[in-house]
Amino acid sequence: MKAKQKPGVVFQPQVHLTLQRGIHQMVSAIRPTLGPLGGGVVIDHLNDTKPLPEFLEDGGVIARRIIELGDRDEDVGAMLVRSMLIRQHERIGDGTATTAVLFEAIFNGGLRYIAAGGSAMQFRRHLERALPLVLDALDDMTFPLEGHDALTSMALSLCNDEELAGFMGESFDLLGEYGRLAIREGYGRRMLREYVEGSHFYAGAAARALLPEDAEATLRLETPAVFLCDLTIEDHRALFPVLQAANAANVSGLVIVARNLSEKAVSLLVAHNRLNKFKVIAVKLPGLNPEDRMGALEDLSLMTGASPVLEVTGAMLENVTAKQFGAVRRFWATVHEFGFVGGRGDPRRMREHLRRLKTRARMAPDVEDRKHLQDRIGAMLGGSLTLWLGGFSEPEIKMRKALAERTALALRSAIEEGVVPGGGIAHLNCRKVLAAHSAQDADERAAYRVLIEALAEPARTIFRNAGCDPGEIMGKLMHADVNNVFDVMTHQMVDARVAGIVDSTAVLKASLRNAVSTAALALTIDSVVHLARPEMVGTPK
Amino acid sequence: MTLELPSTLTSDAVYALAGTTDFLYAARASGLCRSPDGGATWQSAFASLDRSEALTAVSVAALGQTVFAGVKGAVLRSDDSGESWHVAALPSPPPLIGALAISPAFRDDGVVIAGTPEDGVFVSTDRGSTWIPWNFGLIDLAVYTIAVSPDFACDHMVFAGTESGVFRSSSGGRGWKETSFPMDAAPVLSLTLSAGGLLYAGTETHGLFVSDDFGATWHGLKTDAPSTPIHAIHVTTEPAPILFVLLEDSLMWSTDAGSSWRRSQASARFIHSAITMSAHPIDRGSVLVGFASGEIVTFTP
Repeated sequence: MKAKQKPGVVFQPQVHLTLQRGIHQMVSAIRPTLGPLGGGVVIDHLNDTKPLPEFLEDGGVIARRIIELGDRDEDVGAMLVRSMLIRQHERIGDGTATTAVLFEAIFNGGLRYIAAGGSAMQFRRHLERALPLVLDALDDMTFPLEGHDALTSMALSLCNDEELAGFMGESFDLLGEYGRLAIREGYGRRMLREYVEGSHFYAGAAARALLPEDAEATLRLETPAVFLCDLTIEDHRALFPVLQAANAANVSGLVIVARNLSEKAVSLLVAHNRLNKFKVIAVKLPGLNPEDRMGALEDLSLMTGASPVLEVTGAMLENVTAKQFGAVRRFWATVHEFGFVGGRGDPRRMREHLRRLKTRARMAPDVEDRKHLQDRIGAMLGGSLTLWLGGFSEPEIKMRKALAERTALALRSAIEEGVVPGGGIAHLNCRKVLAAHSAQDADERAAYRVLIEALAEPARTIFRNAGCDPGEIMGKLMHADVNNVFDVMTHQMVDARVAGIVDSTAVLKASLRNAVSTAALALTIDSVVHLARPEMVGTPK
Repeated sequence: MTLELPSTLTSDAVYALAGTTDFLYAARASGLCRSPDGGATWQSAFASLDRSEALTAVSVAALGQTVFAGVKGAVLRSDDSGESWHVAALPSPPPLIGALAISPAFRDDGVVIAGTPEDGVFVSTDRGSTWIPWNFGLIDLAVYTIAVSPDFACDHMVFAGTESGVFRSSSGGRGWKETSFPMDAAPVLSLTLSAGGLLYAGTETHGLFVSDDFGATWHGLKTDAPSTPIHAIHVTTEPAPILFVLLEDSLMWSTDAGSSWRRSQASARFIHSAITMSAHPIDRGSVLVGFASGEIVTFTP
């Protein structure tokens, strides 16, 4: 039960000391997970419904589980780290342990400088100015990640599960960074994969009556015309011009995509299908809100070559002509989904549209927006893959699913932005750029020195976690080629590209951005205000 | 240049040519024909199918005794140089197999790739017994030409020339990515990947392009006829490297990788449109050209 908290204000030097202790506790919990030979962390049972301890290897999940520290002053520092790691985990899916150790090293270095009389604000300014130099250095080291073997090797370094890594390598080799990959909980013990040809959308037939009455309940049409609108068709008579236009155009089938159809309108289509003419199917326009529906309509229009009838323009169905129809080679619809292969849209316009969507996805600040845009791009690229993850128990399946989702997220960013030599060597190589910079004053010199020291911390931690002497290996690395890394599995210096020891550039860049910006912020905190918290009544179950 | 072996067995168009050391194959409107004597005499290779009406063959590819012929809705395979055929039907609506390419490591991997003008790419990994449409990332399904890497066994690289440009697959034709080929210059009618790693793309109206980094960057090659459709490209390696480019109205060749060109001058053959070109199976320095008139001619620079 949470005790009542009294309000209060904490000042320096207490603030920095307690922040440091809180940060150290949080980072120490995550530090052991860094590297291929990192250890796991056990979280004590959360409540009575989950009596068993939880074994975790992912920094992001560990951070999520640590909800509060005992000391309220230390808790501020810990929660600062927690929010930073959750941000990294949600957006990138990997690199939380790297972010944590980088952050702590920068924070501690900065604290020493401030304690010696340095200016926190100046230090922050110089840190933020140095960051682009490091990011550019990472870009210079980047090489593309492609090919089944390289992708599998990268996936293995992310998930440490050979079977899953094999699936991921194959999946992303086919799908690319924007391909549609659905990860679902399976029912057996093994992993299964299912390829779906063409584009498909999560919106089904307007009514079950429009589908065949067999067990499969899937309607299939060959070379049908496609009519698009965002209207709710209440009056069945409104469909007459559409059917007449289709009949006049002598189509082999007709797909009507509309927001919704009334029962009467559906009845009209069912009656029409009983005639010995072309088959008609009506499917719902995908999307839960107007914005999503407009997006789906735009995509469908470009893919099929149809000119949609839009409610906002005040257009009516009575003026519909066959010129507004698009076409596809093959179409299918079930109660919950519809899809097609071979839309007749202009491929040049589609490719331009895809480029715009990809740019929007890259720039999207919100994770959900980005995922939604990726899903739209995936649908347009044609083809999707579903991974059914099995296991011996439900917790194992759930854990694998979460692991697969994180691996997929990290792989997407690695394919998109490329990779750099792994094992902490990329950070080490960035130090040369900072060392070459001639500082103008003491504050700037201090900021660069702290950053140079911090960039060595991920590599040191990896070596320490693997039971190696970091000092000895760092000495060897100083005289090695820039692409050489120390393989902690074999205890040998190897070429990172040949050995497949690589890190995603996107992950490392996000780690650096997160660590530097959060450390710079933490160092400028001067006082902490604790608000009153009422006593909690009862014991949470 | 010398002109040899005119063949006028039939007067229907020649859509594709392929040759082995034993036979020369021609995909024609009237079906697939084969010649055991370098084009002097021709016979129908579809005789064993015993069809009452002509089965138009649009594409052909051959390696050793194995021959693949693309027709509407199916790919036909023969393991005995066209004596007998195995038919692999493709899903309806029937796609037209406009391009066929056999993996250079076919004996080991059994990979054959087919391009269609409406349904994208079909890949067979079991020597043509079954075909699967693999179009992940292939946004443009109007595929006119396919080029397989000479080092396919290692790099699994395939290129597809389409209505809007050139797509590349590094997974043996299963997953595709667009290259930086300029969309304005498309459609791409012909593609060839030389043994030296140069990828040539012939367009309908914008001439010839080349990439030396597997499609990452492209630049135009200056030719005498920049706006004439380029139907086929071929690079010989022996006895000397020669780049042949088949235009609708002439044949051009370059011995310096496209820096300078020579052109077949106003040959009477080119009154009728040239459609296809293939390496000569025996004379490595020559090419065979198929015409809309049905003629097949050997050109030796």
